[in-house]
Amino acid sequence: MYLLSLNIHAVADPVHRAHRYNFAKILFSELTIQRHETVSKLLSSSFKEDKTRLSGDAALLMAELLKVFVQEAAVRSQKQAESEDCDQVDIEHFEKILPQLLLDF
Amino acid sequence: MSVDKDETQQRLKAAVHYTVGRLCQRMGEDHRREFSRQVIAAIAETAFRQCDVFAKDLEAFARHAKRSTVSSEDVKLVARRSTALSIYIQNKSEELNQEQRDLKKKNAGKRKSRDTEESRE
Repeated sequence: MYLLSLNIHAVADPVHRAHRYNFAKILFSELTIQRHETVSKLLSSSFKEDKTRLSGDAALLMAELLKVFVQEAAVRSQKQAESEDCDQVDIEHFEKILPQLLLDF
Repeated sequence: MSVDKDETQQRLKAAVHYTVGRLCQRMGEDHRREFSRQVIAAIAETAFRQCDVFAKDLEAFARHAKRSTVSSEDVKLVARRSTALSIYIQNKSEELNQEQRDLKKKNAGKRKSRDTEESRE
């Protein structure tokens, strides 16, 4: 087994890269259209009990919630970069908005 | 067994990272302020960890209501901290229920017309 970095483009094996790319594309379409398998898998991997399931409606709503979370993080970081007159959003902008973001969610 | 679990975790992380990247790319184009790769990775990692927090909360809420299936009521509770977010999720839930009701009406209508055709034959 090779070590995986967060950057999926760094994956060496082309077969695995293709699988992961397809998997990732499915998640993107789920968050932007409306299906729920990957979101379900994402959440149920953190459930402590085996019998806990996620209803279809709940999965759709959670997909919306996650999308809002990511969008909030992005927009707040952009506003912070804007207030500091920076062209690009850098890690320090994200770090500054992170505490309030977590408190709001 | 745990190797499979790790692989699934990595795939999920990579999927989140990809999705966050696409969302940030869109927003970068819309507002003409691009995100550095570090920020995208940080947002992805934060979202992934927040999922874990949400999941544990959802499970606790469902268990508290003596259910083993997480419902939309549990999701509404998870979104309770911010008023705007709470209202947004409630509206989405209403939209979903409305769509399902419309779908049921359509299917019931189709079934009726199919039944009357068959009885005629």
